[in-house]
Amino acid sequence: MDENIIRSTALFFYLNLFDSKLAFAASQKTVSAWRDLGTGRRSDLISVAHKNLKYVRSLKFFNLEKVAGEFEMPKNLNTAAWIELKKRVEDAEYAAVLWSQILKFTDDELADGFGVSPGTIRHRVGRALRELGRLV
Amino acid sequence: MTRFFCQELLFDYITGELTPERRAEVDAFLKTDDVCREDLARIKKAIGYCDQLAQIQTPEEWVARWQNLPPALAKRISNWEHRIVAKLWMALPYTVSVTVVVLGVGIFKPWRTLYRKDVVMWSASQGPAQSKATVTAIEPPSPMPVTEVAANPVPSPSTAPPPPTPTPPLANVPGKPGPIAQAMSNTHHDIQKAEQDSKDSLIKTEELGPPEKIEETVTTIFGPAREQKAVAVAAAPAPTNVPSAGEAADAAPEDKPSSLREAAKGELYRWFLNTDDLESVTSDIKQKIIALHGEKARKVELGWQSKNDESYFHFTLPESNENELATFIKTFGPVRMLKEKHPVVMPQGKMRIILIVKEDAQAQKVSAPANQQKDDAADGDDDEETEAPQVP
Repeated sequence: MDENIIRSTALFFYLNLFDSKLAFAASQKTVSAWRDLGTGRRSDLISVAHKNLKYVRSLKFFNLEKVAGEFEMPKNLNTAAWIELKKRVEDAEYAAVLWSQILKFTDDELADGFGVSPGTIRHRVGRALRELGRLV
Repeated sequence: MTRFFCQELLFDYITGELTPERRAEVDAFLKTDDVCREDLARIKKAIGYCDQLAQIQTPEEWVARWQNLPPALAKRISNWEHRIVAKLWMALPYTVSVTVVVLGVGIFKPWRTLYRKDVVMWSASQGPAQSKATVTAIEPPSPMPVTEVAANPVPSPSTAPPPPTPTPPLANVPGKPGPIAQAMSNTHHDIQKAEQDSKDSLIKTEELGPPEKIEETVTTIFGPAREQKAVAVAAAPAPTNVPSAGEAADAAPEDKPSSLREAAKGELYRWFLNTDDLESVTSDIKQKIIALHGEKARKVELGWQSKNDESYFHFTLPESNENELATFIKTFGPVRMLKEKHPVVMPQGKMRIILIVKEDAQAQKVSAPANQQKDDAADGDDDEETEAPQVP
């Protein structure tokens, strides 16, 4: 399986949940489901990940297996702005900037994954970045 | 250009998505609007922050684990279903075949058909093998004079005779073929249809109504040579208890002989004998049967040892010799006699017997007291040896 897919999926859930156990469970489920789809398209990963994002939030009440390893953060990285951004912007804008600017998915892939036009994606990314710029 | 419009274009301005004309307009507006310049700086700052977030490293253990991830449970179940369904479809013909066989066995009960087929084969074996034909003969209750039957030529099978007149149903008219000859020429079927006829004979008997009418219907299955033989038997010197043809035609049903065998057409007799010396008894009985003009039925020789301790006699016998044979067999020990209904009817004056002689010394000892009791109750009436087992 493509290693970039695995890393992108894990980082997506980590930056959404900020919980290693939940991120591990959700990422494993997402990666497995995306592979079983058999399409190999990155845009399908977006839709699968957002479906599992709703599912994994219910898992926080269960005892999840211990996770080996932790995410390595860059030095001097303050994640408070990112956590605050989640409260300030809409979910669609938050997801757009995450997939676009952090996970480096293209606008066309996001448009395909979210089922909207590329212009809408750019608009959402611009608005989220403006808000994030205020927080940083 | 307005501030709002400029703010909406700032991200595209940074990523270079704008056309040169639009980009020039944004540049011109940015020089005059401080808010838009601040927004542009924030967006650049946010992009730099996102680049930092993108440097978060996923644990290598996760990557290594998921690169060899087994199929999801749902996928495994789906694959399993596909395999099972494919196998089920392959097993469908076998399932249907087994079901049909089981239902067929349960509904048609082939062992009954085989039993009747055995009897049909026996009847056919009495005539030439190449003339396996079935003749449905309607005989009067008494034997027919052989001279009359022999004098009347038998019409060819292709000649379709008129249906038999109901009154008098079986009277012999001079100058015309007798009832037996008519009946013989009525229908010639192949041996396969004979099986069906034998099955239906019981039904026909039920449809005919009263017992005296049933007695007038005789169904025999044999070839042309067997027909001659049957007629010859009917014309042989009548036994003392069998009335002549004229007497039988005139006799009322209640005037018939009291012997149950006389009235019991379509019956099979089963005799069972236990003895402690199988070989000598078998040999003696075989000689006696032959001396009394008994003939083997079917292909099995008289005295065939189906088992080590059992010999088997399936034979036909003139009814007049039955008492003599029974008396002879009784000298070896108690004989259990059964009579059962059977769809195939023997020619007039003949009976079919299956005798099984079994070597069982202990059984003989055990049955001796019971035999003594039955002897006391039976009063030695041999004519009543019918449905219930009787030990003389």
